[in-house]
Amino acid sequence: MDVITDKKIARDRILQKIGTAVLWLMGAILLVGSIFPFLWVIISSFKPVSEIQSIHFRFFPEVWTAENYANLFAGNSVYIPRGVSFVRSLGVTFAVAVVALVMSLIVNSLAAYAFARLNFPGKKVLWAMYAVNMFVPNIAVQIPCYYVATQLGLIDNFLVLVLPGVVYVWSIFYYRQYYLGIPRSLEEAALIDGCSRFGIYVRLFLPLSVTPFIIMGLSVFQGFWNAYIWPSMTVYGNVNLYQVNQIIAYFRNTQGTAWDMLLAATVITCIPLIVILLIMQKYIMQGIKITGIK
Amino acid sequence: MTQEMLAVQEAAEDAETRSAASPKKHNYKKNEVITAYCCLLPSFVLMMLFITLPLILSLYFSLFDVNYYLGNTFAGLENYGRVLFGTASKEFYRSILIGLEYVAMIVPVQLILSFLVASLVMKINKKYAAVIKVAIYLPCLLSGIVVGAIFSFLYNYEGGLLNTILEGVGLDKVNWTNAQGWAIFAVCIAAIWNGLGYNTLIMLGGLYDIPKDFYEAAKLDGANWWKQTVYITVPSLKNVGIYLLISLVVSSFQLYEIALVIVGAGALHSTEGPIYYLYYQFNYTKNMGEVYAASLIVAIVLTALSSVIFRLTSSEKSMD
Repeated sequence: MDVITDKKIARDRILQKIGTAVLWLMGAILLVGSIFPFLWVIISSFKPVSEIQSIHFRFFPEVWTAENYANLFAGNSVYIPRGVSFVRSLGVTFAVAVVALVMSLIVNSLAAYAFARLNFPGKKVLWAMYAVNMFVPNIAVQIPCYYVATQLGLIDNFLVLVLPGVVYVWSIFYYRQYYLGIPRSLEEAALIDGCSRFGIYVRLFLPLSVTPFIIMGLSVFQGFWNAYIWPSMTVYGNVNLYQVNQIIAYFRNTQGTAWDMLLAATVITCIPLIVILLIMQKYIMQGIKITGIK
Repeated sequence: MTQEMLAVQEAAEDAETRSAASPKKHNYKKNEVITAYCCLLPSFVLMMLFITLPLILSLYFSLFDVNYYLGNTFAGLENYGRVLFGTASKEFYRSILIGLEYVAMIVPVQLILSFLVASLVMKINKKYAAVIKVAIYLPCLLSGIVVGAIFSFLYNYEGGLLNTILEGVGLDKVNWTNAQGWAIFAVCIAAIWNGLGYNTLIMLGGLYDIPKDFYEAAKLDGANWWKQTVYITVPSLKNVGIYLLISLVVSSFQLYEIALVIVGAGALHSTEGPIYYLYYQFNYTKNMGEVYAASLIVAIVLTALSSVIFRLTSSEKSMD
């Protein structure tokens, strides 16, 4: 009897050990699978062109060199179209993302404040109009949006990259929900002290919005930093406004691929996103939870 | 001083109107109404200009032959007819089919993989799980263009990593990005890598929400892991599953940037989904009316797909 239970316990232990080992193995595969393609591009970006295009495979560069980056930044490659500068494009993309981010936070939270706290005629109708716009699929709008931009004279203009993406009705809903949870007693005290309704927004609601602003702001920034289709439709004629993704796509087109430029540009473009992920991971995870519950 | 008194009065009135909340009688305060409209103005104008107006214009122009030189002539439903049954219809349907191919290849894999990975992360020690969560989310931050660039490098025919591995194992090299059958497969792998982290984290949220007592009760009843998964985990993940299913169908159907970079115009158009079709038409068509009609049809297909999924799954829900 005792022998049997001993054997059983021993077997269970072994099974458990195998289970943990498999778990660790799978975790490791997952980790490698997620990061490796990216890591591989980083490593390869430090190879000279001849090695990148070589038929013979080498994992690490024979000679580590930063010349791909130097050439990319200096515009020292026949593959970079005339008049295009990668550095400028980084700057412009960043400017677009930041301007759009700030506008989006202010414009959407203002609307949310009005819906959450103010009484005005037509509130229900307006709220319904906003709700309808939330469900309009992007694809139905993007091409006619180009027409509107043409009529407004915005084509090849900085504003065309920013304005159409500013209003994001879902974020208005999110902010409104957040504002409804703020106790009214706070603003009643402010009202008694003679603060205007707008003053309450500026002095009370804005400072309280930091967390939702970070959560929403991250995805707004990401969306603008990663934009490709809309910019390639609207700023096609103005090389000064090219976004980074447009340039990366240009490095691999039907004519061929400029691997050295493509790899270096890809790595540089990812850096801001990775930095954001590492610093803001807490908020990103929170943001994902919110979209999931939707 | 007077201002302060006014404010006090206003606050009192405010409290009064709220306590006697009769839906018919509104006494709006002028200041508040003006503030409200000012607050709504910027978002309203932008929304009208860039969402509502384009939608209306699209509906309107889809009824016209839009010609840059000859001007617009009313065409009724002809544009829709041309897209659905006319000369252009073959390409349109091919793109829709490719979109559905993406859906069929990506959605089941994503759902199963994200479920497995999420269950794995649940089992791992919290400290390491945090590292894995960040690592798997990394690809989700990247744009389709960047993901396309990374994977085209892996797929490179001569000296690319994947073919080197294949050769090392003793298999033939595969022309990933140009061979008819392989190209769409190559694009789907990249898309799955791109989206897995997000889906996993959503799944994980769903798993965390399942009460632990369910499993303890099941264990007492002698249910093994498989039974627990089938009878507790999967049914509890229903809402999360519906959300993921819909968002995955919508995003896979519209896959564009990854395919654009990986395949471009290669592989005899075997990866050109609906979005590719629309932007190609947008750039080269002689009649924009047709493009508007096509984009509306695609939008309707998308909305229909998601509402069908929603109906199917929620009708099941009402049964149990």
